Amino acid sequence: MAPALSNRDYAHGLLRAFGGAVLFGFPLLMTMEMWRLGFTMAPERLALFVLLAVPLLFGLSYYAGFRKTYGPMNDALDALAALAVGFAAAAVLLFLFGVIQPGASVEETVGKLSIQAVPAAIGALLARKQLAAEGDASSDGPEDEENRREGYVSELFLMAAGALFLSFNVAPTEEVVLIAYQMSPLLAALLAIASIALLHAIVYSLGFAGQHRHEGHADAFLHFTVPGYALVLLMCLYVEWTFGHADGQSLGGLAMTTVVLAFPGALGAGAARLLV
Amino acid sequence: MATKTRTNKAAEPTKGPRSPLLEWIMAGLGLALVLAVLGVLGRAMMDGRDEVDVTLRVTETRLVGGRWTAVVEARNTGGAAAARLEIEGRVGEETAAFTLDYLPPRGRDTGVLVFSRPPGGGTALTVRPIGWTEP
Repeated sequence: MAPALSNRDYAHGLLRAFGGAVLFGFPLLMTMEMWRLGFTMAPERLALFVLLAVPLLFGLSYYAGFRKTYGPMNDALDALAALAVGFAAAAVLLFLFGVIQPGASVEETVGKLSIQAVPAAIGALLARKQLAAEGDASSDGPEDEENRREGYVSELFLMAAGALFLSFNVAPTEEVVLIAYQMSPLLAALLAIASIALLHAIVYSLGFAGQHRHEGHADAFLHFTVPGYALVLLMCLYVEWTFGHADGQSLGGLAMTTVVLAFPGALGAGAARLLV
Repeated sequence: MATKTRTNKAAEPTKGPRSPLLEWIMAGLGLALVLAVLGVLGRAMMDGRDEVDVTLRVTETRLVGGRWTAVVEARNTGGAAAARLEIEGRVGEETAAFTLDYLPPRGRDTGVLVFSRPPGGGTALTVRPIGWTEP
């Protein structure tokens, strides 16, 4: 029989989740563009962003999570709990930083909190992987974890999540747009090639599923690197649209900023196995 | 050890420990927060956010270090945010100005105008917004 899990064990997991939310969330919590996005963003984009976070967090709970989970119900509960932790972490830190002021309108405060709660919640779900000690009872056995991560769709999901997570850290900043302005189309093309090469190198050396079967470079490139980079570009486009970087841009300009953002995105996709 | 209870998820789908009460509470809290956020954003969507509507009010004037300062509160009653909002004040021939980086929808912020002569009294202090950009 499975042992009963106590409130105390769960609270221990929650504490770790909070640690993860702060650890992974602080760069964005200390980024001023994120504070202003809370009230300059179109409310429908922010609402969509919060809604889409739920299935993403569900997936992350399945593959990583802040504690060992059993079955989809458990993962759904943890996805929502991670969001609650994300909101709490964002509220505490933004209050301490003086970003949230008592006199502000409800809309402004809700906007500032919810845009930060999502990355913080992702951090909460990465906590177990990053913060649990080796041999901690709350860790899945290595075989168990590998079982879940086997499979092509799982690999692609992890890559997309990794891309979203890293690209998100720079996406709101002015620098992304500024770098795109400074680049010529040739440099942008070179950056895209460099990103793909880097993604391939990381994917191959970290041993994605392909390497277990001793796939050749060409196979791994076609199976993981190319679709991986395509996913990175899609994630970056979505993030840019959400943050309003895509508004009023020409197609060429949009392609340039997407390539710039896809650089950290590709690193995140490649390193997904380390992060998630 | 609990770590070995399940290696094949499909065969034994829900053989985990029962969820403790705290787990349900936290999940409920998360769900409530998501719904609350969607509610607030939904209301903002209904209101429409196409215009910035700035109202200015002088809340305080006083003499500080030989200069007269006037504290101006800017309030945005519209649904859209204003960026780099420039506000100008005038006492007789003398003008003073400040810029607010952002003024959120339904938000407020304050700035200070500095004059060499006392505002109010004989010459009235007038304030007006000069312009802003859409962020």
